[in-house]
Parts: sequence; C-alpha cells; structure tokens
Amino acid sequence: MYVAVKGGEKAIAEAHALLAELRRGDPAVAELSLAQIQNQLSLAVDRVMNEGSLFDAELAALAIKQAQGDLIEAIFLLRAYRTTLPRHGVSTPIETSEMRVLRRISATFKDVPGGQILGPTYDYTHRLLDFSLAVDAMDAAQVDDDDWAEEPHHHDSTHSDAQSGGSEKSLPRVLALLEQEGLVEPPPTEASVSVDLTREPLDFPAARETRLQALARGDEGYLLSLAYSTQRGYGRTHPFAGEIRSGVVMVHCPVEELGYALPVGELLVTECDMINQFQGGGQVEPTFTRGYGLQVGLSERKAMSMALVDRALRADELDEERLSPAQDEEFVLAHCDNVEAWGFVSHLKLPHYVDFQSELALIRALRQAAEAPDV
Amino acid sequence: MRSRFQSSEALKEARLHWLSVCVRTPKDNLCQFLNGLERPAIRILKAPEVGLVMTQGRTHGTGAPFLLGEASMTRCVVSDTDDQGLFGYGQILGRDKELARAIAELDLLAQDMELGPQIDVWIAAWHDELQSMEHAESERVQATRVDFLTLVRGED
Repeated sequence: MYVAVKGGEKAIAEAHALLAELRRGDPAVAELSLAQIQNQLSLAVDRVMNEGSLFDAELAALAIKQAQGDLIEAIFLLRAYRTTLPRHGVSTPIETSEMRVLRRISATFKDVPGGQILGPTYDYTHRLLDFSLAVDAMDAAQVDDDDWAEEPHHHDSTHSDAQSGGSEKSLPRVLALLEQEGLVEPPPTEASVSVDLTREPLDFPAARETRLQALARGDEGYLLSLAYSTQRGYGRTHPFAGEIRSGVVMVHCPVEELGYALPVGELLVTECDMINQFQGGGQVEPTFTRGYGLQVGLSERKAMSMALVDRALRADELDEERLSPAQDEEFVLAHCDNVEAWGFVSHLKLPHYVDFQSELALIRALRQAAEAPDV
Repeated sequence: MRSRFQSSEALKEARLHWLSVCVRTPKDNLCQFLNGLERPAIRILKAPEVGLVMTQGRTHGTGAPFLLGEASMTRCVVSDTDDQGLFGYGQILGRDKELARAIAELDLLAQDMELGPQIDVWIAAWHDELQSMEHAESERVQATRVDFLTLVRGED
C-alpha cells in the first residue's frame, strides 16, 4: 500500500523540463515531423495503433514523438486519448476477402490461385546493415530508387493517404479451398459480439471473439514469446501458415437514421489464417483446426503470433488437455495488455513509505524477540 | 433543392458509389470542387464532431465478427433549407472536421436535381483516377509475385 504525498511540485516541473530537453536532443539536429514518423517509421506507428487500439496514424506518430520512441509509453498515450472521444458507432465487419492485396503468401500450397505475392517484405533481406541509409537523405535518394519506403504510404487510417493503397483485385482465400473439401473446420458463425473490453472487464471463460479482441490489442513481444512457446512444445499445435495477406479494405459505419452503413475510408490490415493439427477419430473424419490473427498496418509478426495463441487458447473447445501457459486463457489474457502490465509494475515506484515502515518495524520486533533471553 | 431520386433504394445505391469515391479523394481536390459549385444554402444539423468508430473483423476473414479496435472518425450531418427532407452525411476516418463537412455537403448536393449531374461527372472522373492509381500500384505489387520451385528430392 502506498500513501498520498504532498509537495514536490517544483521538482516535478523541473524534471519535466529536463525531460523535454532530453526528448528534443541536440537542437542542432533537425526536429522530427509527424509526417516523417508516419512515413518512415510506419511499422512503429502500426504497432502503436494496434496496441493502443486506436487507429489514427497521425496520433500514433505524435505519441511516438512525445514518448521519445518508447512504444509502450506511446500506446499508453493513445489509450488515454481515446477516452476523451465519443463513440459514433460500430463498423460493419471489414471484408478481408475483398482486400486490395499488397502481399499474399501461403506456406501450405506452392501454386495458390492468384499466386504468391511477396509485397513489401523484410523476408529474404540479408539482415546486413545497409550503410547507404546512413548517408544524408539528399544523397540517399540517388542510391536507393527501389525502396518501398519511398512510396506514398497507405498505411494509415486517415483520408489523405488512403487512396494510394494496394491493388490486386480480391484473391480467393487459401483456406476456403480446404473448407470446400471439408478438410479444415469452417469458421465460427455466431451472430453478434456480446462483450466489449473497452467497456466491460474481462471475464472467464471468455468467448472466442472476446479473446480475439484482447489479443488484437495485446503486447506483441508477449504474444510472440507465447506463440514461440507453443512451437517449442508447450501446447504444441503443429501450425502451418495457411495464408498471410496484407492490403487495403474499406470501412463502413452504419447511420442509424438511414438504416445502412456508409463507406468512411480505407484501412491497411494484415491477417493470418493458420492451419493447425487435425482432429478426429471414431465417427469424426480427421479435420484440420485453425487459428486467426488480424491487425492494422503491416503487422505480420503480431498477426502470426495472435493466430498461434488464438489456436492454443481453443484447448477446451477442442478437448485438448491444458498443460501449458499459452493454453491458459486466464494467464494469457490477464497479462497480455502492456498498459495494464506496465501500470502495475510501474506503481512500485510510488512512495510505499508507510507500508515499508510497518514491515521494517515488524522485522525489528521479530529479531528483538529472537535475541531476548528465554524466560 | 429537389431530389432527383424516386426511391430511397435508388438514392442508397447512388450514394454508396459517390461516397466510396469521396472518402478516397484527396481533400484539396474535393474542397476545391465543392467551392467551385454554385451552392444553395444548407443547414448544419450536426456540426462536425470528432469521435470513434469501433471496427470489427471476422474470425478467419469470413466468420463471426469480433472487435478489432477503434478508429478515429469525424461525423457531420447537413440538410437542405427548404425542408424537402434531404440530408447529407459526412463520415470520414481521421479527425478532419472541414473534410467531414465537405463530404456531408457533397452528399447532400449530389441528390439535387440541378447539381447532381454535374457532381456525377466529377465523381466519375475521380473514380477513373482512383482506378488508374490502383492499377499502377497493382503493377508494382504484381512485380513481387514469385514462383517458388520445389527441388526434386529422392525419386519424386
């Protein structure tokens, strides 16, 4: 327990002034603009939008700048900002089947209809530092005319950039081919979402759509590690990346008076449909199971991690024994939110003076009692 | 203002088309076009307001919906001044009030008997422009299409 303290206003103001100076860095170096962050650090912007659960690239860029690139701090800033805004409505579900595709790969079939489209990927790069990027921007322009980063970016949820999004006319879904043959389980089709984690607390057992909402805003590093743990044998699900696609979809928001939804702008999203170990036996024909991940931006690592953890969390539903952390929804979901996690860890910095004094008094008393001669 | 639509169904179909173009058109072009029109007076029913829309995804892309996260969205509603019951809706991702108002106004004016055809022409031009931009990007994307060859192993 911690207690309220008074005073310190002057020191706090000075600390913040010092922080502002540190954030700005050497004044001789040009200050970052939000457009630069939005365009050139777009994957950081994507991460902050996903985990901040607020899709607004400009605000995410501002948060990153304000937080000096500390993404969890930036995510916290977005979460706080969203509480100041009213909610105009709930969109109709985005249709990723109609996506204008920028990237689309399958690790399960070599020849998928529509083809394997690499798009803007770090796969197959050599992971060698590219010193041509270290030279000043003016010179770099002539070095690197094949760089995706120079494309006007589409990855944000705002209007002005939206028109430059992806392209391939809707490609058939890879797993739909298996669904038609009954070789993979069909997606669940329940009607509507009952719990909204921005308004109601997480309750267990959680419905799959609730789990997906929690995972969509969950910490990338945490979910990546849990996903990895399932591959190493802690809740093995034997996954294949059935399909990963990134591209642009239109968002539609209903207008109550009209009774239908209007298009409100485009969003770049990445989804991962994972094919997992099959089930069956007895009367039931063996069928592949699956896990799903969806994120805004080009957040492929997170989308894949989300799909792996989604599948692991379906242990009960699929009659699997829950033996590993990644299969335990209470463990996974209660700890996947990095704002909550950091909030609680961070509170240890608050004054615990009284609390500690009582412990100290107790330990002194115990020692005194131990040292006292027997009666 | 007089509506050029006989039914709300006809209006819905036309509106979904013009709005899908409007929300992708660069703001400057949209506002410039709007300002160039000889516009009748309009009434603002709901002033532009910045808020949120909760977006939904579908499990495995085609299944049950789930909440993906919120996006900022600005909304504005306008109407005609002579109570013909015509309304214009401006809803746009982001926090641009001026843009939300401009889209609302265009949505209203596009219903008008007189201005509608003129707006149709502009919409058609931007529709083509957006398609050619998408086409250019499609070519860029298609250039990254890969044919993986499997190496022969064993007797296969």
